[in-house]
Amino acid sequence: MITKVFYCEDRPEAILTAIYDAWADSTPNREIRINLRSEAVQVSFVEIQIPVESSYEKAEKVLLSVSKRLGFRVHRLIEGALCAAENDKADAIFRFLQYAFSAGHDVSGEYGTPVVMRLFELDRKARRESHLMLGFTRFSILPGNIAFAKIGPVNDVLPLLADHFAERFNTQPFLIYDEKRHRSVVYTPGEKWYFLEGELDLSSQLPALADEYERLWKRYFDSVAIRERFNPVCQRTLCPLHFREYMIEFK
Amino acid sequence: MDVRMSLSIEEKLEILSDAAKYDVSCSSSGSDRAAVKGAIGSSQACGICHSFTSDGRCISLLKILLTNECVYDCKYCVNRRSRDTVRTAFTPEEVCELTMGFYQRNYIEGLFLSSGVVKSPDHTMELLYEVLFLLRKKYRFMGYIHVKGIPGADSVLLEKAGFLADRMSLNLELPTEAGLHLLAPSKKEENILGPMRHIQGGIHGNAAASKGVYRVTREKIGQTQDVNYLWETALTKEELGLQVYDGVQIPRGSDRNQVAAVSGSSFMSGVPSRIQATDRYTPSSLWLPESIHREDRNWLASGKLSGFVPAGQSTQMIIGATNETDFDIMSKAENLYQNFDLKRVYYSAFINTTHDSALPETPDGPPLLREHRLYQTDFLMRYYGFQAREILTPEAPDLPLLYDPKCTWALRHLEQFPVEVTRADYGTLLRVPGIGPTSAKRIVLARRTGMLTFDALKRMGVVLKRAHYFILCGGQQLYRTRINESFISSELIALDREKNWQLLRSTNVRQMDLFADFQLYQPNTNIISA
Repeated sequence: MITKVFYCEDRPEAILTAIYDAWADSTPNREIRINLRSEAVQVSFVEIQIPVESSYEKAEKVLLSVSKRLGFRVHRLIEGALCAAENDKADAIFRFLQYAFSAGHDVSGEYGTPVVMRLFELDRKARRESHLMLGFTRFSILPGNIAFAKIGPVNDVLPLLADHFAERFNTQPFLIYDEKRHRSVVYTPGEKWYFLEGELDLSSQLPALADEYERLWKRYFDSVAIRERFNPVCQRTLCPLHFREYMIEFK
Repeated sequence: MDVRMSLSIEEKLEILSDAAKYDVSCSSSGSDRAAVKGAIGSSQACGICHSFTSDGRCISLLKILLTNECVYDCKYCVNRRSRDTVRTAFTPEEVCELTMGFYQRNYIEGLFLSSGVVKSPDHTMELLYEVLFLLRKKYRFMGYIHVKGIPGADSVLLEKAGFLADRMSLNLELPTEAGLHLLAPSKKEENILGPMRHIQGGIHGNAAASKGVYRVTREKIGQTQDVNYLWETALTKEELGLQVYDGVQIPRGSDRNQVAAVSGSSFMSGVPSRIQATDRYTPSSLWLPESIHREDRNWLASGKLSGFVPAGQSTQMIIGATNETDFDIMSKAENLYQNFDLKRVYYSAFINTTHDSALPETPDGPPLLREHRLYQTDFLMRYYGFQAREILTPEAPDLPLLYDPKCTWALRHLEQFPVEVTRADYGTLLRVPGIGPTSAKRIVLARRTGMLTFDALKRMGVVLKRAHYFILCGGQQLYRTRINESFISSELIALDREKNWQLLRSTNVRQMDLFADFQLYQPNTNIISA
């Protein structure tokens, strides 16, 4: 039996496009797989590899039919899972959608069903980190009053952060750059935020002198700790080391 | 008292944050406010932590005192009048600039503003109000604000500040009146509970305010008889005891007797009588000083700020400075949740900073494990529907330190176990060690459509290593274990041994600290000599 394998980039819209293409394919579903391009490609005689050209149009269509036919909870699950760091996410979403569309209703509460449970786990992983990043993201103010933040999260949480900051800082132009995935979110007051692709080097733009508020913040950070309660293990549990690289108070 | 205003903002920040850090509350939760176009800030119901200090506590808010000058001499307090320390104060502009600067860089979720008592409680409350007003109006700050109510301040002043803040808190400081009398002779319990009752009335009148967890849990499990149902009833303005509303200005002082009557005699037991009505009273505009323009009043009253103290009120008690038992403390907390609709009660392990002769010495460091157990009990009351007397009794008034209070309860009630997870109701599931509100909710949802397995339970978030002694899934135990008190308790103690050890020892076995132990950095001392 020959399996068709759809290969796509690790981008939300690419995964959704792959799902669209795989769905449109006439091969019986169990003989279709979706892999991320980043995975080591194992050449096999019983696989046909089909690269996927990502298309925002197809991605939109998938999301639209999800929210129309399966409800907002499932839509939310898919959104979160698309941003997870796990390699099996594309295929997991595909399997989940096969199950959900055949059921034809909101299946988000069926934790006993393995495909649903897997999606729930992916969503939870991504959203846990995105919630932390709402607090841990640090902006510095560039000349021209543009707020700039560099992040390097484990999961692809940038799409999950954008709405929050666009709402909160609606008077302030800002740019959040994910240096692991070379993608940014750009926001200008009064407009919708958008993605900017590509590597970004703003180090020459950053002011040479330390910002006054950065100094104040570090001072504050040290002075509010209570020496008698010193507990770095607890601190590390709540604020793991890999986040600290991007947080000014730990530098 | 010599107050140095000429210090740099950096020095002031260090002094006034150092003086404020013993206040525990740092939550930014309970208020869900959408951003307003053209103004910076929003607030999320779940709260957001922005950093964690080396003691493992979260930083969510910029926690500072307006001034550390104080006319009181409370024996436990770092800012007591008789203590020899540098005194300084922020100007309102400085507080606003700091808040905005930090907020813009996403360092904080908002401001926690407290203060030492300058001149009088009224004067201090007025200063706090001034800062809040400036921050909301001039700087158009829509983030989270937690303000301290100053005990003994005029209720009109508390109300005015309450319309600008998200959360307000008055610290009970010590669990009993006797303790308060001993350590804080200038504070009186009625001066704290009276304003609390008053703020409760105001929150009740605010349709945008959220219910506390204590109440929500009891509604879910159908145990509403524990709670005074003030919340469901509509009260008149007079019953709420509010004076600031509808642009009507009640001359200050004229109503004080009436307020005192509400707060004086009946505040521990009495809840204003119920009135059947459909609408809750919502203030439409505010009484504000004459000097403020009408448009400003309208802006403040427009509802963008979600009305009076939308995130509710909280309080704090110091643990281990006086000899109250855990039973005393939790009964007090339960009373506050039931009768005052408090959102949170915080417990603060006593840290001896002043070394007053009336205070106990704590050579082993602050009682952190005891504090931890009290918080666990507090969560059992709020999220799990327990009553204080189920966990603690006058005969056994202290919590065991070896294992958590939920396990303690379960071991004493083994006749109620094992629980069959495929059938047990939500309230019963909540009482199983290892199952919490979130996993209980998921269990209830999942079993409607399919079979439950131990694997699925684990992936849903049930802590099986604790729960498996107490549950059946489809009639079976995970392992064949005995339901036997001594067996289970020894197993459970082994699970937590390491964590408890750390909490008990955290201060004795301290990691060397370059800054503190080798003076690589100049602490406060050079400010004092400056």
